[in-house]
Amino acid sequence: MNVNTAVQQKPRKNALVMFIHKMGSPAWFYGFAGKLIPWLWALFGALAVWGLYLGLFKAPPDYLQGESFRIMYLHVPAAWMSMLIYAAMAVMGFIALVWRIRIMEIMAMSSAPIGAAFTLIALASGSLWGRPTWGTYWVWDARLTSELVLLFLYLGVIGLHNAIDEPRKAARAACLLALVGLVNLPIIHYSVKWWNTLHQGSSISITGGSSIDPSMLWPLLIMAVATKFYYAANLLTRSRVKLLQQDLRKSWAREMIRENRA
Amino acid sequence: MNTQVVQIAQVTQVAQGSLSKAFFALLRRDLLLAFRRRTELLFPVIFLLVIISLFPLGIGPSPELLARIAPGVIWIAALLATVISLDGLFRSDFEDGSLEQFVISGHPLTLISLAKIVAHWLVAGLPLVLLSPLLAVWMNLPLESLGVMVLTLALGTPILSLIGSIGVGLTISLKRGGQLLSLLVFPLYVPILIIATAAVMAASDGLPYTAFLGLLTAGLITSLTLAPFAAAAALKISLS
Amino acid sequence: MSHAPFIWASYAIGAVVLLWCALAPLAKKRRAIRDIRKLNQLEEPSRDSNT
Repeated sequence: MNVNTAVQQKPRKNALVMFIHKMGSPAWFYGFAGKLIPWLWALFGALAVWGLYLGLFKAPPDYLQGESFRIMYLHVPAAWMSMLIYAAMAVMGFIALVWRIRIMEIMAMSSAPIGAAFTLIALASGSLWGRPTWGTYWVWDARLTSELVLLFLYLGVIGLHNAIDEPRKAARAACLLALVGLVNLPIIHYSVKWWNTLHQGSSISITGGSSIDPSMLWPLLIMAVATKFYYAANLLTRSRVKLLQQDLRKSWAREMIRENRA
Repeated sequence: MNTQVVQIAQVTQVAQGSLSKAFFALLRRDLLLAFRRRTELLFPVIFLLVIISLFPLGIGPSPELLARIAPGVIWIAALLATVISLDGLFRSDFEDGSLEQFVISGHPLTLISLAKIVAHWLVAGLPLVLLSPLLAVWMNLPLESLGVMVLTLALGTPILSLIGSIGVGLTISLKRGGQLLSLLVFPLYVPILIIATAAVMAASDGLPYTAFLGLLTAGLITSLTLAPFAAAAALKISLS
Repeated sequence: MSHAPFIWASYAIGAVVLLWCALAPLAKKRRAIRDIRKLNQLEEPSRDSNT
């Protein structure tokens, strides 16, 4: 066999496949995420400041609720994120379970505390919104009750993950739990929503049910996008740290510290 | 312990046999083991009776009040009793190593999970269903809804065992698994509680309730087909 | 009833929770880097003694 035919041409891999392939390398992920994080924080900061300025100072007071509707600019994006993060966590968990990709395990587990934080904010702000609007700090309406059950689901995932010592086994168990929770989530939501109408008659929407004015809507959308950048920045930060913790003794981490590149 | 070894041998001997033979062998083994410790069978029952009696003691014996909260109280007590008995579902087998033997026996872990869940329900869930008329009388539940109460428990307690087995599979390797188990499993129980109590309350008010029973039946069929797979996956992770 | 304290309280809670959530991993990162440095230092003396 002559030398020329022995050396085979490698097929060209397309950019996306290469990207996903590189993501599997801890060192590459650590570096790439590290470069992204400052930009994500910057975008979060800018959008949050803009959104809060519009929402807290520029939007006119609601004729029904007065000023308290401004809590909506925190409560609604937080509630949206609490559900989005759970779905993302379950999807990443599914990929981690089926394909055994470690970085997916790490990112799924890193998402859980962030999701729990947003759920907590949604509950607290919802409660504080309820006091001036309905006269009571806690009311078992459909949304708050579903958020509470969602918080329990998050705490279960976090608790299970912390309870098992071996990190990859802990991540896999918690990912399975997250998936089971995701399957149940629509059932829980609908049964709670239905339970609420059964026991309270007419369903009261916290936004009053009237169509929302554009000057009120824009800050909401800006805050919604801002929270997504927060999630991305925090997720990558936590994932890098977890990766470092798991790979303390690996050469890529030690090389990086030795060269002061962390 | 020796007889347990013999029984495991019997189950694995059936490895050449059909799936149903394995299923019934395991079911028979679990029931035999449970009946050997007959006093332990009574614990969930006694727990249930104690919990129910605490409610009038804590809230006051007013018959109207008890009648109003009866469906919820009985069902909550059923949830608590199930979660307490769930931990025993796989734990003793896990601790003496027989669970690993079942896993490598060559039979599908899904089937093994299902056999153990059925055994658990027969031992822990069925007594609940049979006791419910007594509990209904204690809580002053209107007699028109007694039948529906029993029916919701008959349909719902298997669902509790099925969904609970997933939680047990995930926590089996933990020392304090039982405590974490309740946190894991209660959010998943919320829809069952809502629908079951709605059925009983509708029956008390003379309103139609068959839709709720239909939902419970659908839930039972769904969890019967899906939960054993999830429980098997959970066990595989825990045993890895 | 003035709505202002409720609005401020909500945003204060939001800020505290999000701030804590953002800062918590940084302490763990510092500890991890410190541990890796220690591991590296443990290796250094044996390296020198080998040459």
